[in-house]
Amino acid sequence: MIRYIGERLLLMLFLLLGISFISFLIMQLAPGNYLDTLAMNPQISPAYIAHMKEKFGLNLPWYVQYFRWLLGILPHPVNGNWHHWDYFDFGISFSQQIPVFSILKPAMMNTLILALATIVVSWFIAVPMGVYAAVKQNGPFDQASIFLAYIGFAIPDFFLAMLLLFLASRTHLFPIGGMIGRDYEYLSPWGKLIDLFHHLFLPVLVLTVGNVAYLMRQMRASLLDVLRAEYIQTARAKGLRERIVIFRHALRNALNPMITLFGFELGFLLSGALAVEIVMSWPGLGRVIYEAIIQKDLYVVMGDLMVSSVLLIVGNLLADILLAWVDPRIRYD
Amino acid sequence: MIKGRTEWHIAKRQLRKNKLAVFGFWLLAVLYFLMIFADFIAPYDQAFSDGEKNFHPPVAIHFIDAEGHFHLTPFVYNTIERPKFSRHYLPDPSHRYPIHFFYKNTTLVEHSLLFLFPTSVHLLGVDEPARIFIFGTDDSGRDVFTRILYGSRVALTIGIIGVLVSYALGVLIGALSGYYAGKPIPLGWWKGWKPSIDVDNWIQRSGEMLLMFPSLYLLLGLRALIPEHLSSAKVYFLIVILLSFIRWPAIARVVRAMVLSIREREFVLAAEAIGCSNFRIIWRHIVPNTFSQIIVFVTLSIPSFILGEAFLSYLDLGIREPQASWGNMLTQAQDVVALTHYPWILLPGFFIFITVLGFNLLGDGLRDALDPKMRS
Repeated sequence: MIRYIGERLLLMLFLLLGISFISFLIMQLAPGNYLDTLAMNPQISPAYIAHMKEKFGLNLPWYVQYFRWLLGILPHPVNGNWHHWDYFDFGISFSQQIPVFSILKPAMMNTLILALATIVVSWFIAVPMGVYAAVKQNGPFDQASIFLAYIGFAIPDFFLAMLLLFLASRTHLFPIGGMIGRDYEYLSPWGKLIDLFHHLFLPVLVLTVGNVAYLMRQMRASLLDVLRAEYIQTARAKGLRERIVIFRHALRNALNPMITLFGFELGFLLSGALAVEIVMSWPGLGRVIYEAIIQKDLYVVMGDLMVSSVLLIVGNLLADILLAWVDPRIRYD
Repeated sequence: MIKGRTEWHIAKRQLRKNKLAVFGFWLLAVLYFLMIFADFIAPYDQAFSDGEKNFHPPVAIHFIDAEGHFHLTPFVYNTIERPKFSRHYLPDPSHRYPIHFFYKNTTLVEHSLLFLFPTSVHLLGVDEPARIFIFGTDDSGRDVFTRILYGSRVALTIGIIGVLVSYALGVLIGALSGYYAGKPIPLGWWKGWKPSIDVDNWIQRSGEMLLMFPSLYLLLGLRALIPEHLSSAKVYFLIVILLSFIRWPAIARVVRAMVLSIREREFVLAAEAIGCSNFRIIWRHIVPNTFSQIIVFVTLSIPSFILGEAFLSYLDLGIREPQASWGNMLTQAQDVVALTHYPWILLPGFFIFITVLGFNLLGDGLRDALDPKMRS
């Protein structure tokens, strides 16, 4: 198992290297850079632009820039001082003139809050719904859930987010976007938490709708599959109560395929979160990368891609480990 | 003689029994009908704007006038903004403007029906200065209904064209991958060292990398590659290419799996035995056999193209004004004040929703119809 995790981590390292190289190439090939837009401003002197170019190393060939950027992420001594080490140096944001990592760290936390809240809420809703739909197959609840799932699938994330923003601004029940209220600083710790949940509600709702629709149908299908197995027949034949048959025997096995989905879900959520973050101005990784792409803020885009890839790969790895831990049939060596 | 039933006949009968799939089919049929006759059905053209009627709400259509008389032909009133720039519109009941069918609107540019017959006749129309804004107007006084109809030309075609391109790419790569699975191509030999290249492995690993990446991030990143200001037609095809680039691994995986099972069938062995070339075997014997499965997959991937285009256009990175697209119409709703007071500008989103719903219902229906296990 440890060997497997080690192999996966090594693979992950190569994957990240590949992703970073390709995205660096993409950003280099993209026409224009941040300084081009600055240069068009008549109030900024050409000397300043030249200075900035020097400072960011933009006058170097792209592969030198790439290696400089890559080495900055690894632990390295600052200015040749061997007592002072630095790492996770993703470069400096052109537009904000601060280290990229100080932009990414809070953004990553915010996206994680959004994603984890969505995962918790949607699993708590989807699993019981899926189980109930499977147990009462073709009943009114099952039929209604098929209908709701179709709606949940078809409604675009960003459109649903707009609809909810419209309702929020009409009813004043929920804040219109953002993550914290204007008076956040003056609230008590409990008040801060309540304020956060208040802001979290709508974005999580948007992401939950699509997620629940998907997970519920998968849970239903998975449980129906297990309920057809012979050991379920045996369990029923020996006179066990239906409740025991479903919760002790069937559900446990039906949950295994769901755990694999758990890993994929993070990628799905990151993509969905991008749309929701932009519409609802949630200060997460998606919003950061969108703004950085518009502004051609090269190192922010690169850093954002790296951080979201790490989240994704770690999510997949966790799901694999969880699956091996839950299902004794699965061994990775 | 008993008429033979082909696979497709059986599938068609199965599909008809599925009420949801039939509903999805008709939903799409209506949408495509509206798209084809967009310039005739729309009361205005997509560039038309009435500068005095910004954010005009949907017009009320009346049958009974201010004095309580009933009229057989429906009519509208002209509206006046009072006070000026308030965007509150008051109807002026002093004059009725009956709604004409097959109305010849000479104030607009001629359109050509079905790209063949130049005409200025529109399905509906009212005399000026009244307007028939069924879904209201946007921030510059353009008719939302008209622009939704014109925008459907982008949304309803981009999915089909996109899927064709990614299908071609996916089949090509998937078939290659499947055909060469487990047969590394030798690259000669040198002092006992026999280097070989495992095409299948390379294709599948790079596909997985693409699939694993969150698709919207990839889309935004790739979009950054392309100059921002391009003509709508160029952007349209760029979006198709970008989305196909993201989608091909999904199709290639399905095709590869099918090729792996078809590869061992007798007719492929027979083709090999009579000396057909690899290309001919893939193209004439393997690809046609993947159609029935792929059609399901393709129907279900159309929505991802529609959503991708809408999202990019919404961010102002896709189809731009003046060409209408459901996505770029929603851009105006980024302003919360506009969103709150003029909710009809959200209507394009509703059309995206029903289009995606239509494709999902039809695709699921096709899947069940083509799957022998699901037949009743």
